[in-house]
Amino acid sequence: METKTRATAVASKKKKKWKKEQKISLVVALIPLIGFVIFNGFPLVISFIGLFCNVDLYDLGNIQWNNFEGFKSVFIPRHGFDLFYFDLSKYFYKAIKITLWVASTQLVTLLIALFIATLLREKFAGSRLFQILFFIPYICSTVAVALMWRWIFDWEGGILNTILGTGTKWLEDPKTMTWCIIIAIIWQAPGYGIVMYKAAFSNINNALYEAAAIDGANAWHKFRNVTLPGISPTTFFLLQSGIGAGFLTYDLAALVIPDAWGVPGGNESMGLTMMRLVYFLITNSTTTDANGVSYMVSCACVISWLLFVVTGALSMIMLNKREESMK
Amino acid sequence: MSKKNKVKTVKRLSVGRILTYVALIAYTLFLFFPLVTVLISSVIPSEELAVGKTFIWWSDNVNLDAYKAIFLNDSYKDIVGMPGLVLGFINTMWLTLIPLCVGLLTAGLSGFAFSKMDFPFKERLFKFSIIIRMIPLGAFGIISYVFYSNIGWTGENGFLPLLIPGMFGGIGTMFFLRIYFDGIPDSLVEAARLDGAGFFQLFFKVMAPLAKPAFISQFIFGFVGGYNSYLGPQLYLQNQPKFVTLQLYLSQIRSLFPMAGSENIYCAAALLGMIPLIIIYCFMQKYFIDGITVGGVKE
Repeated sequence: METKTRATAVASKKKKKWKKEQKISLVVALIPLIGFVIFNGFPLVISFIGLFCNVDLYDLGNIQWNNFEGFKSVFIPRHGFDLFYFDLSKYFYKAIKITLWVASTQLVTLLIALFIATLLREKFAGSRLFQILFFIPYICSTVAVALMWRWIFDWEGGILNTILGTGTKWLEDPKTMTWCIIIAIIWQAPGYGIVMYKAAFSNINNALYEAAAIDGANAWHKFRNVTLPGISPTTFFLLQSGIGAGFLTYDLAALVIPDAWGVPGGNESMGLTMMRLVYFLITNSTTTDANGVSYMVSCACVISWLLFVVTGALSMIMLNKREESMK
Repeated sequence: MSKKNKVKTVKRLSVGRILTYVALIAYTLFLFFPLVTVLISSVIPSEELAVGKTFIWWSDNVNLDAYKAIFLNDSYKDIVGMPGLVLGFINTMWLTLIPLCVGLLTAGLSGFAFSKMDFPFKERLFKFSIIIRMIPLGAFGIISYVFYSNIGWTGENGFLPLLIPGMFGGIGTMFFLRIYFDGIPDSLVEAARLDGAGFFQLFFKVMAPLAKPAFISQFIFGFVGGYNSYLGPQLYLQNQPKFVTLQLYLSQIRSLFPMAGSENIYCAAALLGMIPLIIIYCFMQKYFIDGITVGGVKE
């Protein structure tokens, strides 16, 4: 009798504790989600309102329907001129071109990473050292990398003109400016892909190669029929993250080719990416007219949402392809 | 006959190996020659750089004046009482480490709850997190300024958007740690629970020590990101000298030293910015590599 009551007492105590633990678990599990809702959800909602309304930077109570002026200023040539004294659509179309150009660099990065990783696949004297060295640019800060490349491309004292014996103003000439950004990206980015591809190689079943060898496959056939399918989940993962990063390029573009004389993206805006244009619109204070600033914020919301839709769609496509390739 | 064949394969292999070396060395040069030119220029005297019309390969008067100038002659000293580079380093450290450590703790606790605990709405919350995680929200990185300015987190309080959101722990970090926790046998948790361990004891005494490698790789990942971050500080702190970060300082180096021939200072600054992480990487490269491959390949 006594033991029985004790047992039930223990059981009920245990049950009670379990419930408390459940509560703690729920609260603790929610913390990252709460952070997400506050710091991603609210900006999302505000910028969505900003698509159709003029939103005040410092007074959220002040929201006014703007009759699609944000969309119009972004897409219709010369429309923005009446609102804030510069032709936004001209910058916008330029930024689309430059962003696509810069984002496509990610494909080059991917190919370089695959090539170098293939060379490093077998172990040989020094292969480990090479692998360690090749990752270093990836951890260098973009600010320092930009300082470095600006010095290399410097038209007077820079090493490039000295070696080529030319006097090209690489960083100011609209024909070469964008290439300066692209070369800096190609210098910095492949390290990540190299490491990922190396890991992907080690996951391919060796028996597949042996089987291919028995069938008389040469090196190219092995690469084409065994290696490429084996690494395709990694390829789609790298494309997903790379395209996202490419479309949202800000740092290197802004640091290698800074805004000049009030023109975003430097000379003829040849360094202007979409993210730089958003930054320009948010921080630009050349217009004293508060109303003009509000319209600019609305335009920035339009461009941000456009970027979100494009990167989101591409990301979903790559995610699907990746899942297909893993079957 | 067979001997001949053998010789042939050996020869062919070695040609392939030589080509491999040539390609790898060429790539090494592409990566490190730029760094070497920066290193050379950082020790060339300003007077020579100011009059030089081409790149100066070497000088008889090489010195460390550029490095001294960064620590002694910058205008930050007059405003904040110490060299901008030093203040930038201090600010970068607390702005990176506080949100990173707190965020790892919250993300770890959350990942632990999702992995080993049973609680109401668990499945639904988890599905919700998966969906959220798939949405790439990078495009809203700058427009978020409108939100932060409205809640007064700009200007003097511009450090708050860099400090607070990270403390809640990223959902991506939570997922990464959860996968690691899933690999730890449930029986360990059950055993500790029978010994009377509560939620936090289970986490700190059982799970966290076993998941140390996962935490270290996430820490390194976050540290590199925080140390190198530029857009956030530029957007929220650019007019606040007392909150200057290392990357912000480096990005201002041209306007801080505008005189002709200051290129050696820019080069020295770039190197000073890069070197700390390169040194850490050399000692801990296993964690760097493991961290990014596990995060990318699995999930």
